[in-house]
Amino acid sequence: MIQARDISKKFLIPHEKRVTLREHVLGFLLGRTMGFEPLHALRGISFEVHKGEFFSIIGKNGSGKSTLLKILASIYAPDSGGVMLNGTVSPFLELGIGFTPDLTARDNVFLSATVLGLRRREIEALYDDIISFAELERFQDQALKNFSSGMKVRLAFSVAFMADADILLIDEVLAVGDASFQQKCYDVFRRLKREGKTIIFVSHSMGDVKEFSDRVMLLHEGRVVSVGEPEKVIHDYQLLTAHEDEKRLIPKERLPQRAVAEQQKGFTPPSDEKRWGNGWARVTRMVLSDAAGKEKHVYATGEPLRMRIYIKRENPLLETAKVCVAIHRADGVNVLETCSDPVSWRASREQDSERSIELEFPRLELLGATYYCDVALMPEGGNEPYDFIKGCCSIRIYQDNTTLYRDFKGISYMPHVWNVRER
Amino acid sequence: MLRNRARYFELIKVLGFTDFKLRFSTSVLGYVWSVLKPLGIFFVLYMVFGTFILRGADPRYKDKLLLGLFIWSYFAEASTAGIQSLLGKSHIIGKIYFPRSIAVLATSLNYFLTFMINLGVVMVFFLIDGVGFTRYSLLFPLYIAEVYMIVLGVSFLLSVTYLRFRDLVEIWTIIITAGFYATPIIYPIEMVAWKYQKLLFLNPITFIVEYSKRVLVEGRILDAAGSATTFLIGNCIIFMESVLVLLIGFLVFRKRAPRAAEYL
Repeated sequence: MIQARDISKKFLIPHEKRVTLREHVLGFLLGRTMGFEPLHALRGISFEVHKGEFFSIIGKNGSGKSTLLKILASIYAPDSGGVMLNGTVSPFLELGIGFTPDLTARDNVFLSATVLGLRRREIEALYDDIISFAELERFQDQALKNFSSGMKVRLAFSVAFMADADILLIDEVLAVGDASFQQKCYDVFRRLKREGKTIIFVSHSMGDVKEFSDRVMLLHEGRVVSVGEPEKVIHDYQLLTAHEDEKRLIPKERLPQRAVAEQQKGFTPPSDEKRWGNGWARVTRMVLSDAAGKEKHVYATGEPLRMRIYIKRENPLLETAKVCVAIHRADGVNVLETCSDPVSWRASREQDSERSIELEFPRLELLGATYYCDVALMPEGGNEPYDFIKGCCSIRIYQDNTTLYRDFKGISYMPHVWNVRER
Repeated sequence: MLRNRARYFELIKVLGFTDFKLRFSTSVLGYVWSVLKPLGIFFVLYMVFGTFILRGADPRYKDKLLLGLFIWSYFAEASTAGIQSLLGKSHIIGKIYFPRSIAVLATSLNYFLTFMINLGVVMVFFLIDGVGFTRYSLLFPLYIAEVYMIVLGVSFLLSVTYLRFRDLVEIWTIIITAGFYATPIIYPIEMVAWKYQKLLFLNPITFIVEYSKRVLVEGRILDAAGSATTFLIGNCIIFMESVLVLLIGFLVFRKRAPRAAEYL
């Protein structure tokens, strides 16, 4: 049905944007050469989609999904390679099918449907269905510029799907529109699948992808990473994003340097301060690692996690301190606060002033989200900290869809069983 | 293939109709403006040149002025619209595929249609003013076809170029203004010294306006010297120029159009 062979597409991004002849002439006269940076949107993509298949394409932003869809829709021409499509195509790209804002909804429907290849008679026959599916009966003679974005998307999707093409290219329709329209879209997807239409679907919602797809393709930096069973490919995607998140999170992991050491009296930290305390002892470093000791910040639910906290005594008279860790979710929900037994320093030996302590979670059963840790050094009795670091590190948790944790929702997994008693 | 051709014909119709609607729906008088505008300009120019400057030199001056003006304003408006015919439909071109040439064709046909109606107004004017029909008038449709070819060629060439050079419309406006004076519309070509006349004839619209005036208003094909040869050569030149403009425009368009969506 659809055969794509070795598609490559490169965009030349000029270092300096020149869109007028004046700028070109000026640039030329001033002897500035026009530098380009090639952006390889697609690098040799090949795949096949069979008739009647619901084929999803997933990948991060900028992985080439939309460019690929535009090539399938013949809007962009590939630099090399080619596409063979058998059948009529109805594209629904970037939430639209090309409406003219100054025309009424009615005129736009006729225009778009004609572009999609319908004849006037066919459009007239379908018109009422299109409008009622989009729930725009009252607005059909209003100019489209007065429509809300949700209304426009509804109308566009309605036309794209009523056009009765053999192949539908759908880019993120479910991201907008209210719940009832989303439900309608789901119904449409089911119906189109039943009718044996071929659908190419781009989405960031793994739930939708998993529910409808026969096969899934994962793109990354313009290449196909994997194609096949939804379960497996979505898992690959999770690993990929975990890996990417890891790279993104590391630079943030430095401890805030501005310690507010001289806050002896009255423990009232200003709310925007990230670190405070009297400075008798300090947290110098915090390392998150997995069971094997590999430092990382992205974990699957149920993985072991070790936090190693390095502390240093600054006041030689200090003998003991407790280490406290608080974990809270990005939205502020407090998940866990825990403090160690007092850690002691043998009196006044300078070389022993630095030591470390480890907090181990054999199974970290937090559910998918981003979490932050606060770390504090506290006196044995009393609550005025030697050192308190807010948001000392972040942990990203994802629910690996090959594990038992994949479908749970909430903050944390708790062991449980469902008992069914036979009567 | 046949299904496709029918489909594209339908598409030209709908796009052209849409353009027409968008062009005129925002004003009360709507389409009437496309006649009123050149008519208004005609009256201004006639007052200035016909009654004061070239006073009474040619009893047919107003007919020639009217004809030249309508041809020129068609060329000016249609080519300016043609340049913008791709970018103006960027919202559709970026989302759905259809042969890009259809967008240009639809715009050019839309303007050609209004031009036809406007010519009807000119004919009525001629009838009232007593300009007779001669067998030479039969050449006029050929000139109309040639203007259309030039407009279409310019639209093809400049609509894809405009995507990359966004000040092209401003430049084109200046060229159009210069062209208005480089075409014998407000003055008879005989007023220009022969060595400059040759320069004027580099502009294909000069030929078309000049010969249209001759065959329609004057009912003759001979020039002042009474020679038919120059007329024949002139006709060959316009025809070749028109074909050439259309051909170059189309070839450039065909090469550039597949990448049009990337420059929107």
